[in-house]
Amino acid sequence: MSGRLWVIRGGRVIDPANGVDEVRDIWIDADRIVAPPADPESRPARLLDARGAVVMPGGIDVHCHIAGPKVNAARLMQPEISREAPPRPRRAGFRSGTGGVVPTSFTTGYRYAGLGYTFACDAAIAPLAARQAHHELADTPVIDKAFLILLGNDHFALERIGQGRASALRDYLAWMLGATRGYGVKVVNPGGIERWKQAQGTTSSLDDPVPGFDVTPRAILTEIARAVDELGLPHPVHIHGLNLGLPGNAASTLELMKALDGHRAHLAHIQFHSYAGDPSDQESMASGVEPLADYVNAHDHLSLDVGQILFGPTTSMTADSAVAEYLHRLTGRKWLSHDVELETGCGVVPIEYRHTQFIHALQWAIGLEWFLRVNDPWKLALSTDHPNGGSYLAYPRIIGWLMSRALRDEVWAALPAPARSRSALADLDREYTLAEIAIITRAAPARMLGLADRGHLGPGARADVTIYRDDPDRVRMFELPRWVIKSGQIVIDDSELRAAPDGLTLHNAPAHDDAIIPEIRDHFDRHASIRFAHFPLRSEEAP
Amino acid sequence: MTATCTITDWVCLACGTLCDDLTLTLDPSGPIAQLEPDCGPARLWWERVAQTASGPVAAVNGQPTSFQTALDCAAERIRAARSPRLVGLDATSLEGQRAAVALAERIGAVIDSGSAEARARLAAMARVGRCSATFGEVHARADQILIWACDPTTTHPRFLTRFVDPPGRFAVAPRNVIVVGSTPNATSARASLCLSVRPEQRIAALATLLALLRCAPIRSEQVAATTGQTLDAWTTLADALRRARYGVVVTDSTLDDPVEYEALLRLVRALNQRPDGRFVHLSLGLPGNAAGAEAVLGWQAGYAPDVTFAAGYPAMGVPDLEHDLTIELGSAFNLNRAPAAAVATIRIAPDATVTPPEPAVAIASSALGISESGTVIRSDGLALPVLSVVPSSRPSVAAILRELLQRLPDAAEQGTSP
Repeated sequence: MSGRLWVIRGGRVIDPANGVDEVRDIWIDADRIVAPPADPESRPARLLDARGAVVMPGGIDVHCHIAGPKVNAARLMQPEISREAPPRPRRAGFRSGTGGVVPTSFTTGYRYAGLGYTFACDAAIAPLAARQAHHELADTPVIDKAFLILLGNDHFALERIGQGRASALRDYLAWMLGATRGYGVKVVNPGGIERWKQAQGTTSSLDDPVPGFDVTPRAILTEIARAVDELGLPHPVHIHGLNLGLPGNAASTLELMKALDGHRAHLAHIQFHSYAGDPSDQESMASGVEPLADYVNAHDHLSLDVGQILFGPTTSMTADSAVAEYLHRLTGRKWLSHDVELETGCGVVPIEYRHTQFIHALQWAIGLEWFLRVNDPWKLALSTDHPNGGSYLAYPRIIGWLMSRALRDEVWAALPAPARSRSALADLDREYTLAEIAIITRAAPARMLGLADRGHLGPGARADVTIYRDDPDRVRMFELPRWVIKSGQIVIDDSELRAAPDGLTLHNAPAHDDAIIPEIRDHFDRHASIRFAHFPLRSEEAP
Repeated sequence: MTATCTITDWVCLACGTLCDDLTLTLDPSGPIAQLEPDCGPARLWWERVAQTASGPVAAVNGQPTSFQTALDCAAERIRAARSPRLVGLDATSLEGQRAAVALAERIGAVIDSGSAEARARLAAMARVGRCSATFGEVHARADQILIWACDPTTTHPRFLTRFVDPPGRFAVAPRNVIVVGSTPNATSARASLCLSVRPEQRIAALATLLALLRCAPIRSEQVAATTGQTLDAWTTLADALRRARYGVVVTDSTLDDPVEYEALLRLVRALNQRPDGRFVHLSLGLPGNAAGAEAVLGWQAGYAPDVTFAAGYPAMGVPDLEHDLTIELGSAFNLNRAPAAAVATIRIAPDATVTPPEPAVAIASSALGISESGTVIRSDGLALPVLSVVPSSRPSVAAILRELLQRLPDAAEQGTSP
């Protein structure tokens, strides 16, 4: 027996991926979970007594914004947030930082660990920002990370789609993932950002043309989805659709879902895309969740994360520059916008969600409707689109609302009557079980991301484990894990951060035909402000 | 080297454009034999920084010593310091900056950027936000270029030739270049419209433009008195800005008044209220890696460009403190940098042991962009890899700082587990 073998003894193990919900032991060898030793006399090097506690895989965030230039711009644009939040002082072995809804990188890692999360996927990094993002993620400790690269407005991709050159698109995506050390492909407002940068509004339907490129949002979505499928990437194309935040966008979301029939796809922060009503009249907004959820319930090609909003101040940050400008005009708040050549843009606007505000109240209810209307929790992941809907630190509160109708009702009762009349949330009695919470916070996001060795506690899984006190106050239970184990090391003990190992940054580099490279080089020579030779990351830049 | 050596795609750190497309041919003895395209500041920077490769690797009180001894002395002085300060963060790579901020945090130092432009820009951004773009977007889209109180033809010689002169994907050449500034200069000589405005008149000029865009009532006599130009002249300029499909306001590091900066960012924001045009602001950066320093401070501390760790956590700005120790990075790196106000106690730079004034502890590093690889960030936010092109046995700034950190351990190591 290895001297490193140790055991978490006697906890209630909730491991939905393996169909387990029972009291049992979890054995760990180095950074992996292993089968119990065959010899019943085997003595572990250490025994962690988890009797009476709940044992789950480490949490996995499928969609958040924690790195890259736009997150950093949000920090620098809002020093008032850092000043007002309690700072995190340096202590031996741990770095200092500032907090608030856009915490510094070290604080981000520590906080995720403190919440029982061991993996987070940044959902929107411009290819040209990948180099910086890797540096920033290297300074985000404890958790493992990955990021998705933005390609839904990429000129080279749009040209190949317009030319009907599916294999060239596929090779480009594969090359791009390797060059940026990205994990997967993200599409944001396909073609719409390019159109906005040309000062021609944004795309509002799947069949709007993208000026200067012989494509439509429909073609971009379906061709990139096809390419991602053909490359066999572990995560399907990750989509931020059209018309985010606008009343009436549920219709285009349903159209988008149908357009993707036959492809795998992940729809991000679906709450922001599920509104009935008239786009020109904010007051007409109503929940549009029911028909969308019905479609998701009837089809298996889609997964979702919700993008639940919380009441309070936060920061909207998005690659969808048009949305940021819309929010700025709506709120009058300060606005950061940055156009990035060849591909994308970004926008940052501070925002405060208020429970007394009709739209915000409705958004809160619409998010919860999604959780309660999707029958199969494996299709859905918990997210706030951090920090857009609110901080990931709010996940325990959302879990509380999902597990207790009474907790939901407390908030519901305080919402404005017009908002309550536009959502059927009050008709939904469903309450999540602990096993369902385990699915939407770890097992399902791991499966969505194709992380075969995470999100479960079977032999061979990475030893990322969170152990909670079985507290009837579920919010408190999920806010303060008793222990968190990252890659076999106890990082949280008695709810305190005890260790901060470096985390990994995962990436994929699928094979591609090198014949595409001269075309890409020519594209860079003609249009980029940096030389082609300087675009791909060297192996030492992102090991 | 025993023969000429040609390096393609060399990244030049001499000005804020950070051109990465230069072909450099070196003589066997080291000087530049040929630079294509040629650039005066690039040649000057290379010659100045490359010559620092001579000299001892380290010195204490002016006496040459070993690298290890100098590090021990530096650590001893840091341990004895009550109020340390770190300057020159812009003079090193992202890797060096990450290590430098870690050091500053551990010893409770103040990080002083010394950049009035960065302070003004970030203060204005914190009030109103900012609309900006990468250089490549200017190349691809810009049809109106407003040069505000600067002369990029002189200070950033290849910015206009690389990104403005050639046509772009969505922009034809020649593009309309307008200059507003205090004196005729090399850039105004090529402008279609040039308005001469003294520095103290620029805020009034921006207010006038903003009023014209908003169709607010304006008194022509007041405009002439406060801006030095007629209302007609400003109307002509405002009309040109209104016509832009994709307009750019270009400034440089001399714009250091927070009020003027805010007025300028408000003007750009107002120009984005038009339904048929976009407008962005571009700040041509300082030489080296000032944008990298802002980025690293942003993600590690939450503030930039000046941060104090005196209380054990990051706080914004430079407190009014007497410093008993200054750690200076990369003094030869920035041709334009003013000498440090105080003599450095510890200097870590390619020229640390050869350039006066003499610090107490000098440690000679390799030179980023010549004999050191690393990452830098342009003022438009794009990160570039910089590769060593001349071998050196000297350590990088990042490596030196990491060695220093090892000599200044935390009071206790972090806990361990199975």
